[in-house]
Amino acid sequence: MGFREKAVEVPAAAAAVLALRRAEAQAEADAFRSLFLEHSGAVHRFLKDLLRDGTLADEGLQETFVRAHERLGTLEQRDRVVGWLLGIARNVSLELRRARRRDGPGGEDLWGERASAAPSPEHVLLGREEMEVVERAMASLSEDKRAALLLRFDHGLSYEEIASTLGWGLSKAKVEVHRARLKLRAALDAANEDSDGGAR
Amino acid sequence: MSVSCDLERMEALAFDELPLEQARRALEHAGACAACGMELSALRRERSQFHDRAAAQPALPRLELFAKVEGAARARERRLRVRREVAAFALCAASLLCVVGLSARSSSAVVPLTASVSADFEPCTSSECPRYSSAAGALTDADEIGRLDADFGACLVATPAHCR
Repeated sequence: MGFREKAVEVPAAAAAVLALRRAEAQAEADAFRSLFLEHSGAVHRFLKDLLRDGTLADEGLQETFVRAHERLGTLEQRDRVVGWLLGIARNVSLELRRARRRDGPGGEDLWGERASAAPSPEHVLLGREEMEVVERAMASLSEDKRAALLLRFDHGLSYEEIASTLGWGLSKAKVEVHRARLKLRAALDAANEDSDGGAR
Repeated sequence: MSVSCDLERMEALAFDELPLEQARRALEHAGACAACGMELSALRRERSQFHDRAAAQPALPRLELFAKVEGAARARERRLRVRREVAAFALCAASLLCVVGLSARSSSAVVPLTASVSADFEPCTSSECPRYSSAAGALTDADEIGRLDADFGACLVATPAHCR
């Protein structure tokens, strides 16, 4: 056995540890991949709803999952992964919004623009006027209320999860969702009355 | 709306958050109470609107996006590792410098540098170092101070008492 061959010889125990580490790293990579594939749709939708910009939402999605990858070890309750991811996404959206505001005007009234713009493909597909009403009603909500309403109704988070995701108390989470829902309901009712009146 | 009306319970029912038995009771109540029944149907309608909206979103190119995310995550990990290594190296270097500095100071105090004594050394005069004269009260042994001056070949800050 030559010197070179001897130098790369690894004891069995060390080889086992190396194999274990490789397997751990692979398992972690697989877990992250399935996390992305399972939740990227919801995270992207949440970001798009908050930012109202597809390109910015793509950017936010990437940043959200890069941060999630960094902090995967800090996730304590695996069953609360959606709330955890959406919490990161919310912080990313706030940062992107701030950056956009810094870079120039035009980032403020995105919701207004979107609500009055031509219907998006999903609206055409659904063919629902109600969907436009939902969009308009959400446009009239503050950022906090909109986030809370989306977390509850779109992503199905419990109030405890909403509170921990947004860094609020439980009662604030309940109040904000309730108020947002009242606004949404009023807008939907008004739209229904209008359409009923128009039909008559 | 009766005393047993509980809007939070209706909401929990609409969101399928109640255990089976409680859900059954809440549903029975909603069937009998007009206000709770209306609340429940409004909640369900709102929830289904959000569901329809979510379902109508165009599909994402997930694999393509994942490749980007994975690349960015690795790049950031590498950057963080390099930053950590640089910080650790800087800390080690600073610690080493501190140790070397401290040991040099202590060794110079213990071992006199007799080799560097100049033969024609003269103690400095008070005109050369007048500012330190008053601070020299603590050093009373002029010979000792003189020796220290001789060691360094200069009038030291701490030894001006012998200055004349």
